[in-house]
Amino acid sequence: MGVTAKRSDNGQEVTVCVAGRFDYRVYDSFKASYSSISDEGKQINIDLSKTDYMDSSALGMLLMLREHVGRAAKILLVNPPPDVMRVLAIANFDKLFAIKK
Amino acid sequence: MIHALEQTRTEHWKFAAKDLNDSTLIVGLVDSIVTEFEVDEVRRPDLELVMAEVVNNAIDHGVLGLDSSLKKDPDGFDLYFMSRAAKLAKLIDGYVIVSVDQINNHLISISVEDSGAGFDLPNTGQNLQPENLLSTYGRGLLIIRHLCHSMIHLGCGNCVLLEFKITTR
Repeated sequence: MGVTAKRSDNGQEVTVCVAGRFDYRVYDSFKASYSSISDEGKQINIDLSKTDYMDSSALGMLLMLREHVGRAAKILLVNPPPDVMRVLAIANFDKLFAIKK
Repeated sequence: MIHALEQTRTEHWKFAAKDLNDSTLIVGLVDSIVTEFEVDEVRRPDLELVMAEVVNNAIDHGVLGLDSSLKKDPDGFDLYFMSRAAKLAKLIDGYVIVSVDQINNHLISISVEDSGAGFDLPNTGQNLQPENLLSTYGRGLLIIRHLCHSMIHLGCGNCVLLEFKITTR
């Protein structure tokens, strides 16, 4: 459970996996997972496949991530389960973020 | 008079200041509501999300008096969450009361009242518009509105009344 971050072997991609609940309780660890990323041309994958709950605090965190990386990196939301996808859709985040199912 | 014999089911939960910092509050509350009102398991994820949004709103903006506009600045979200945690940890006064009534076999009404000063009612909802997609706040209300049968604010804004479907019918 919780947030884990993994850098790809070539260093070009960072995958952040949020397992279990994605809400304000993982704020510190979520922020820490991407705060060191500032290089150009990177990709950040937010792996939601193990996320079983997400609320508006998580949506806020995704926006903060987006703001933090700016144009330096691409953000991809990966494999959101149906309940999580629905929250993203309600907030129109499917228009703000690339989502890979 | 048959009607006089009918019992209307109502349950109340009062959360005092010390209870509001408990991270299991929402899940525990949802468990109780599901059991007491025989909520269809299929409806549980929606109920959990609605209760999290509405109770967190009551805590953040009611009891703690946090201002969402804090989140407008680049570091605002940080500030907001740090401020929330600090205020919650040393909270002495304040409460949130949740009341649930059975309307019929398919619908319950949920009222969430907090000890806060309320808020400016006409301003709520302004961030629910599509052009405010990037706004860092307002999405909680958007989720509540989407998942509930109805939502109204009462009093000076310190009470919200929701209707929620407990079956898939």
